[in-house]
Amino acid sequence: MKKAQSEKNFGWRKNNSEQHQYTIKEFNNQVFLVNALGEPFPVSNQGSLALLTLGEQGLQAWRKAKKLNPNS
Amino acid sequence: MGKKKVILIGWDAADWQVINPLLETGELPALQHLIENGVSGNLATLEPVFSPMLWTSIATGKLADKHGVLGFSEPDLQHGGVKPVSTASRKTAAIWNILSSEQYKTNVVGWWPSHPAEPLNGIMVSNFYQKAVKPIGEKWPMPPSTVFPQKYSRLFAELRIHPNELTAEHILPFIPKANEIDQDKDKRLNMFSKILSEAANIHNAATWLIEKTEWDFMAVYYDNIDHFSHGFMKYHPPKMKSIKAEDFELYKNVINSAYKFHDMMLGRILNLTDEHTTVMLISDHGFESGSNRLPSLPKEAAAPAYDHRSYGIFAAMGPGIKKDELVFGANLLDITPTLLHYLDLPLGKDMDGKPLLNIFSEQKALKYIDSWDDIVKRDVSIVEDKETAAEALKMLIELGYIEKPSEKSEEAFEKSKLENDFNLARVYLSSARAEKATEILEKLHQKENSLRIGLRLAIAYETLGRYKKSIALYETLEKESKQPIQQLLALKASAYVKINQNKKAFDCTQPLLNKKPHTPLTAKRVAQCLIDLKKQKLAFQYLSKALIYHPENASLVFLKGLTSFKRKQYADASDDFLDAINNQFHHPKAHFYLAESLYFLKEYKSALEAYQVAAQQNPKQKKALQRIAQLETMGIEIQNIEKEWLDYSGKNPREIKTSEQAKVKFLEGLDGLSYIVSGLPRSGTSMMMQMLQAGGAQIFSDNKRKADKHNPKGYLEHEGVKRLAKNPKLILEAKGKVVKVVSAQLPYLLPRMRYKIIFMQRKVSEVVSSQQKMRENKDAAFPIHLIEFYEKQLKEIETNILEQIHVDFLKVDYHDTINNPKEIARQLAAFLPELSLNTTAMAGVIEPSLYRNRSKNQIKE
Repeated sequence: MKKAQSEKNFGWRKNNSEQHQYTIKEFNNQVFLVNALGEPFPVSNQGSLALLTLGEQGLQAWRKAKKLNPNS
Repeated sequence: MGKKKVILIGWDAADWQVINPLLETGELPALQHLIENGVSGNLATLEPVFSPMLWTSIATGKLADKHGVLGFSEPDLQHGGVKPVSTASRKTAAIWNILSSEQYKTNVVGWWPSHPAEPLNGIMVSNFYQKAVKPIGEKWPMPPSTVFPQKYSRLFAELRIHPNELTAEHILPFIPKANEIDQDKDKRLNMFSKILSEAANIHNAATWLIEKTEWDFMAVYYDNIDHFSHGFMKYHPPKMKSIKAEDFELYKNVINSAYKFHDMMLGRILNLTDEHTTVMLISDHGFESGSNRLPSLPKEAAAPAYDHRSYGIFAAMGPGIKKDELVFGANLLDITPTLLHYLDLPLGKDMDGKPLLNIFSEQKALKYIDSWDDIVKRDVSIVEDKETAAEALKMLIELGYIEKPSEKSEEAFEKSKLENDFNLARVYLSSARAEKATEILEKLHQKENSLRIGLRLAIAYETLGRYKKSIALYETLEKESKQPIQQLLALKASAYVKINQNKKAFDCTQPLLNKKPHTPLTAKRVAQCLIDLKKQKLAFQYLSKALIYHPENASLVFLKGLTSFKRKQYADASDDFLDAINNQFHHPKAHFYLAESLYFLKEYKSALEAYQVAAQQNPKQKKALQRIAQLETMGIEIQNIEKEWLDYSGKNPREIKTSEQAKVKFLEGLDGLSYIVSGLPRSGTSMMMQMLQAGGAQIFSDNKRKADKHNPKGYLEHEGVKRLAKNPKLILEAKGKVVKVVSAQLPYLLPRMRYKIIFMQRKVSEVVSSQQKMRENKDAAFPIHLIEFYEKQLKEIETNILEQIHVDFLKVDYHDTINNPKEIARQLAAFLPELSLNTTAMAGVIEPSLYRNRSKNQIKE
């Protein structure tokens, strides 16, 4: 577990995309949430607060990332 | 236009005192957006401050004696023992039942209590949904009846996150040094993870419903700020003396982080909803922070509720809701009536709350029905699951909300019954029903000779004016407790003041004067007692000390100001009143005394502003109204301060009761009484003026309009009344007199006068015919549009003018007056007893030959 750095690294940032509808994509063994503008947001198998606050979509993406990389 | 769309979000225990500093540093952008684009303010809680009772009051608009949820748990009538409160405990319709029955697509998530999920025109996810009761790895089935319709159960079960699934990425933002915690010894990290996962579970269900279903109304309840606060507020800065430095360092970020996390969830909801959706965010109570935190809690049932503050939060934005404005005087009973009114549905007359009309940019008429319970058919055949109930009960025990029940089922049953009865008594005591409270408390006091029950019984006696009995009980309690209890001494002192035993009252305060007050409420009682005993300087000294411990307490700062005010130290007093207002803006007394201080400092303009705020916050403050009038005569402009009274046309029985109590005080504060004769032109207003003149009433007339063939006895009018819209103050000259004001001018009557209106009624078609004849225009086409116009005007007068609190009215029929003048004269004399009208003289005015013939002719026409 890494020690605290700055709040920004801990997910205390507002989702800055106005395009709030995401689709879950896989590319090169990595899961991404892709917004309506096509911008990809990588999803770590460790999850994040930002993913939690996305709700159901964030959860689905996180679960997919865990399934894809169970041990990383 | 389609149905309005509303989402109601509950954040249990959210408090502006924690939120405001975070707003100032820009750390709650979603809430900031909600506040700037809508209305916000305090939401007053109810007594006792127990969440299941409060959230049920929010959802029903009713006090607990009507809705039936009387605590965290209740006696289990079926199996014996005790069980958590459930959907079945609620005996009246909730907002979701009402809206479902009105064909609104309705989703509910996590509301406390809402298990088992009840049938809806939508989806309900109960308050047992989010709790993880099994260790990770073990199967984690959802309790039966968690979701309605049941076909969605599997889907929602998959949307849950177990606390052990959370990773460092989730925990470190709250507890940056979490890796230093020895989790075998310190269970707080475990508790933290549980609360965080539960918040995420509710949010997952809510976001799925927002995105994937068609809905008109959603209610989503997050209990996590309350749980985070109970677990971690003691570590929130500034550091409390009783907290170890290392614990403070570990957990000091949790509370702010919890609010930031909730703000991010709110941001997601705002993103998922469009500008046509109304978003309302509320909390059931606040949570003590800063210097008001208690170092330890008393050992009694539901003791964690001592940390709850009296004001929660309210914020709302959406179509038809004002922008960037504050709301005052909101109570959590008002949420359901406000939502119903917003959705164009009638309010139940049996609801205890009122709609918050001031949040809306446009006003519309209120609609009422007797009770939604007559319309809504609830499915009460809900099966409760004993195993689930046992798990929920365990959780309540862990949280400290209920004591571990006795192993003996009968004993547990009785204890639970006692708790619920005690809570019911507290509801009665806090809603001006001390007699009912006394009845229950006397019985409970026989069963349990405890301080908590004895104290409330003594307060109930005091409320009923049975001071000697209350003092005797305070003394008994004092002896039994074997140590001086500050609260008892303070209460005893104020009871002695009431019976003018000032020496004894003062003696009671003595042991308290040099001690740190246990609670701000105790300090307030002691200070008020000293003020009543005219010991202003001593009260000032006591309050100065008490404020070292409770510096943000608006009531204490206000009382300190009052001690200066009473010693005519107006500059010092105004500083304190301003401080009190800064701490708590909704404080009508502080605004009033600030105004008084400024008035005596001859700062009239500032004083006027303060009087206006005082009157806006409490329109019943007669002295504020009097001072405004006084300053107005000195040439200072005023705004329409009585707006709240004008807006008010409540038919809710509770409101009427409240207004009846307040009415007398309000009316005393007005500028005097005028008698108005009104009606459509040619409805018999001149005839009525003549009757009243003959009866001995003083007439307000300039006699400029002379008698003519249409009114041979004269019009008795005042020209200025036609310009009432431009010069409403003219009516002040008509104090004690009768003045004719045609219906079109009635809306311009100054609201700060009292009026008795005699409203003449005559068929509109006859009125129009008569007007045509008067204008000698009888050959013209009959003006249908004028009839419609008059009918609309009469309807508006009926709802907007005659219903006002400062108006009494008597409707008099034109033809009845001609046909039976003696009876009408008798009715007039009864309506205006203070004028001692001569009924014979009044009846004598009506000359059958004059009126009857004209009347008949007009009817023929």
